[in-house]
Amino acid sequence: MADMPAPGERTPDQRDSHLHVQDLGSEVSVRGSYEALLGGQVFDDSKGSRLGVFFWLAVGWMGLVVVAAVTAPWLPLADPDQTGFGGRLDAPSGDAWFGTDGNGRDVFSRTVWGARISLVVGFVAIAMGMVFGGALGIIAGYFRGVVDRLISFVMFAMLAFPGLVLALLFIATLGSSLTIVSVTLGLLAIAPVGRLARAATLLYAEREFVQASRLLGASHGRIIVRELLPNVLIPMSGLALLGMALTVVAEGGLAFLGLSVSDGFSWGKLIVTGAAPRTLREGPWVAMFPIGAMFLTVLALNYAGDRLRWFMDVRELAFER
Amino acid sequence: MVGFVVRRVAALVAVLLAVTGLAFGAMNVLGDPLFNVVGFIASVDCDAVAAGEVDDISGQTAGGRGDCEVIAEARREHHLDRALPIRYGYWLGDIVRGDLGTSFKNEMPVREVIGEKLPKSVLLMVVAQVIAVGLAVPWAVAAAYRAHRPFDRASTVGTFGLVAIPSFALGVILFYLFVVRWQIFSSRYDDTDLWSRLRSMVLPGLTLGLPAAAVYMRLLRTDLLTTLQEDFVLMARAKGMSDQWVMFRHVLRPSLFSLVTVFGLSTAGMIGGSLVVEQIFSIPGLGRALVEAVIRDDFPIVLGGVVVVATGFVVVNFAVDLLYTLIDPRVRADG
Amino acid sequence: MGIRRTTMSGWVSILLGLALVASACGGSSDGDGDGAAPATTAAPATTAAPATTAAPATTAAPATTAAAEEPAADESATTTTNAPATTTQAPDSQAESTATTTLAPEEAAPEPVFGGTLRLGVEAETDGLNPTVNRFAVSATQMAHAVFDSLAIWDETNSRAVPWLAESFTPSDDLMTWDVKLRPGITFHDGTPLTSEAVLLGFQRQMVDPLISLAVKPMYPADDPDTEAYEPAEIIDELTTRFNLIRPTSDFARYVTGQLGYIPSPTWIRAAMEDPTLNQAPVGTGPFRFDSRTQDQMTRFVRNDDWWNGDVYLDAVEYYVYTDTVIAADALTVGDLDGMHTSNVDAVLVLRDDEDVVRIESDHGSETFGMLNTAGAPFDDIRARKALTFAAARADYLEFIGQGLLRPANSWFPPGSPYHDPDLVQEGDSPDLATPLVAELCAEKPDYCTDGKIDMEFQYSGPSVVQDRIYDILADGWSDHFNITKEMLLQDDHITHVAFGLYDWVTWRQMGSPDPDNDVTWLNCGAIGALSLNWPRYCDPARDELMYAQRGTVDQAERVELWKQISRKVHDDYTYILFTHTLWANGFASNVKNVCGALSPDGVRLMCTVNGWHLTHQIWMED
Repeated sequence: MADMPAPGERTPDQRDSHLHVQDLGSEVSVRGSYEALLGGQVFDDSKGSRLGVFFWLAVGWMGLVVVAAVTAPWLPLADPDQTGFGGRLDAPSGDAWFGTDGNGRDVFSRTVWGARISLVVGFVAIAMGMVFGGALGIIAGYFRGVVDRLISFVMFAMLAFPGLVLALLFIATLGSSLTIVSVTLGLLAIAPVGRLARAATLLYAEREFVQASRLLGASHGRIIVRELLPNVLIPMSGLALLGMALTVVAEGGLAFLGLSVSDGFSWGKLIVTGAAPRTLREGPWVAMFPIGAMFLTVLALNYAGDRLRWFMDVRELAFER
Repeated sequence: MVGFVVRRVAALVAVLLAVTGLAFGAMNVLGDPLFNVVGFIASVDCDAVAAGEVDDISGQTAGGRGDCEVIAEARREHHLDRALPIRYGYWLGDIVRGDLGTSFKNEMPVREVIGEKLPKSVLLMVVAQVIAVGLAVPWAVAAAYRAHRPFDRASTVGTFGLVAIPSFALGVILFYLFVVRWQIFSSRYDDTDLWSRLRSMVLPGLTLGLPAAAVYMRLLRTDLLTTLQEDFVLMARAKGMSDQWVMFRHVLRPSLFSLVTVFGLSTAGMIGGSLVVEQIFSIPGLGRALVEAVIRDDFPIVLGGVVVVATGFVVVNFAVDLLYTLIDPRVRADG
Repeated sequence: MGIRRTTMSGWVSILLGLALVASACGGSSDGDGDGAAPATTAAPATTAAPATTAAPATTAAPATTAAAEEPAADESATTTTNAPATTTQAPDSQAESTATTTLAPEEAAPEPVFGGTLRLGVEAETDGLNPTVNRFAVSATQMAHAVFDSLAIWDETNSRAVPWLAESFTPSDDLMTWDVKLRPGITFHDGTPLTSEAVLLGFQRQMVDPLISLAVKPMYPADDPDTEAYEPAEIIDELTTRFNLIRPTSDFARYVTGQLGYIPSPTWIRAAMEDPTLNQAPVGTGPFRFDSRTQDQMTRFVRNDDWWNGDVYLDAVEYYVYTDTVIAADALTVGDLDGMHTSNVDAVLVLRDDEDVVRIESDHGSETFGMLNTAGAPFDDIRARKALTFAAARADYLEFIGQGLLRPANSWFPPGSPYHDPDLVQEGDSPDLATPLVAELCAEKPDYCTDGKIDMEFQYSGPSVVQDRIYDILADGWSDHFNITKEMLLQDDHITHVAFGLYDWVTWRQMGSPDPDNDVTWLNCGAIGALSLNWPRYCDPARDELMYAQRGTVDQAERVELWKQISRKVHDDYTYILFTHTLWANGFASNVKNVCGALSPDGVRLMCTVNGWHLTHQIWMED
């Protein structure tokens, strides 16, 4: 083989992604040799293409959270708004599994109810980020030229504007219903995800397999969807899923300023209340349980997303011709 | 090269126009500018006053200059009778001459107010980013190197933990531990010399930087894993190079795209959005001032702040684009 | 947000603090343990008690605190009552509060030490330090008393205003005119001599300010533009200014112990009128002079070596802004501060936990309560007001917000105050009494209600975690009878809305002036207009009669009786729901001495703390 290429350089006959491998009709066996050489570093499940226990745990948790959030009004929970359900800052006990907060309210019940707003806000942000941000980013990165300049400019301007200020302006003008708050935060997700998508697209668009596809007469749409999207999806979804956590936290920040959904409370709001300096010292559970819930949700979502992506790739390899 | 720079500067100007235009427009929609300038007396019906039908509000409040005089003067000074784009034009004209106006709150010159607060916010951002990158890179490399093994799994859990703890909680926790409990750091920003300033920024920098480190680490790790699948890596190993050598020399650099991209993007966020951190650690920075100004409809401060943050953002991302070319020569810097 | 915002926003610099209203609550994340927004500190709102005129004139004859004494050579001296010493109540009032003062007067005995910089934490930044233009909240008052001197100051009983920068306050026989005589030979920090011209200029500037004038003007006749003389006040001689009031007033000194009483340098005032940035660099006669100021960070004053009242021990005072006073309390305990103030229960607990911290606590000042707007639906109907009162969750408030530290308030006067009426009780925690009222109201006025519950908006100032929690507690308690809409506004907006009567119910903090006469400002009919300082906009001419009667009488017993009647009326009008007596705590490092040892030039022992602020000139720091 040729000499070691300079960092970043690719020689024409080097193939990169497994998708390219797919296009040329190579098999999984090439992957197998990867595995062997790299000591199984890339894929942990050389037993084959299974999702794994943790995947199902993650899905289970997500399911639990979603179901609990949706059915909250019918679950046998304490009234989340009831002052004095317990004493002030009671530690977790049989009566109040997550303890009580500074107003004597049941933290467990509030955590369940808080999921409703947090999940909506988080999912909307991910969805808007990936759909709109991804679409714009890929289009910009693929078509280049004027289209790219225009889209990039808009995204860039959105990013240059201090995010919190932008959110404040939107919400102050339009009001603070759940829809508006979710969409506003979703808007904030578009530009970062879009920019990342564009960067990734730029990277892959120059690659040989894309050019090869073009030569073979594939349409733009097909190239974008078949060649670019799967590749771009990886870094993009990584950011977007992380973005869910960031969005929930951002919503908490807005709640603190009184600019979030006025009717009800979210995990972010619970955490803000629980993180008042003295409350945090005397009754850490008030903040810690919502943080824990958010942590597990974000973790589960990302893990499941990772696993699923990997799983889809492998399956594709195995069955596509 | 010159053309490159010129194009960049033009881009900067274009972005600033867009951003400030948006801010100017939004604030005008949100609040009546006349109210912002003169307050309650803006509701006086000066035509009725002129016709002698009505006392100006000062009739209830005090003597002194008639309210309508005050209103007329404010209208002249701020061009309030002109259309929005024209007012924007006047404001641009002032900006170009370096006049950012004076705050509606207490008539302090915006340049002074922002000039005082900006360095603190910039320092905070720099410290936070240094911590974030300094933590993220070795961590991600180590995790990708041991992908899917215990260390990596633990790291995954750890990074999500960091992201899930909002800055307001993390800041309070750090404050309690390091200031109150162990008394290692001071409770507020200490301006004496560079060293004390840096010291003051450690805890706030951690508060902003740790979650950012987690984000960077995840992105970098993902990219590293992708790169690790590539043939040239296989080749390097086939040639007998040690793993560490391979990792650092050849794998790291091409994997920096996502990290570098997001690094650039988070700049504006860190300067403008550090409100909570500034409050907890008593840092007189731009984040707090900006948010308060928006809520108070203090136009000049908001606009000035937006200009500054946007400029900083553009400059940083300019650097980021240059970095792109260093990482992957195929990506040419072309705007 | 929405429509209101577009018309009401702004009013920023003008309404912050609304003159006499202090943003002690900070509005920001501090969340001061109790109710609402602004509290008073500016002049009229200072505490006081029975009006005794200060012993007239001159000299050093140490006048003892008990009203005895009275060289009274000229008959203009007068007056008053020497209120039988007992009614100068106060000394117990301070000790009787739930608080403890861990500072004993005897501490003044040791030798003062010169030197050192006192670092104080204040709970909010102030827009500026010009008493004729800016709104002084607690933080600003704390700073202002170092760089300015007020004409009068409170004595140790927190009930009597005694001469400070002024030498004497002398009324006419009919109590309609007061002559304020300055002490001779005093100069401002910029060298301008202190004369009555400075007093007059300051007063005129106050009368012209749209906000401050709202509180001041009602006390004076309008200036007749056709004559040259300025009727409300005039210069008699180089040191004497005469104030011509609109009705008999038994004490004048009580009005000039705070913002209205600071005398700034006229040279500076005129310069600041041209260049408003000078509002940040005050020039007065005070024990300290301005050194530097970085907004939101630190303000620094240094010793004035030429101060008229003797030695100033500290080299300098520095004020640091900590918007979260729990964090300020932490800063004190770790040594980053030498003193701080707070009304936040959590911060007080932090102070109490540290044995090395010296505390002065008092809840004899302002009150925490809520107000109802009687100018519109639904609270123009007394049944709605009663229902809200009966159903109020006071017990929950006391338990979860008060945490056992705050005393429930049944009226504005705590036990220990001479005006306290033990028969007055604030109702609450009786939702069953509210039910029939709501039913009756909704039947008669269906547009006040939806689904059998009265519609109302609950407005409060934020962002504040504690205020949010208070909202939750009260809203939860009212949920069976009221449909509540939440409206959280930033401090300035909040004050604007309230001043314009754009609210239904707000949580608030005010009253508790050492002399309750200062609180008449918030209660009288004349204060109601497009803009109203009578926040609930409730006019009762009979009540006004009583209030002006108590202003004019020198008979303390009569005064007490009148105030009891006034309080009863206020109670029966159901325009306020009282929660607690605000607890103010000042914490100091153990090496800070003599906070309570200040003496007036006439030998009168002066106040320790009033609503969170204290004097600075008498303090020294041991090594």
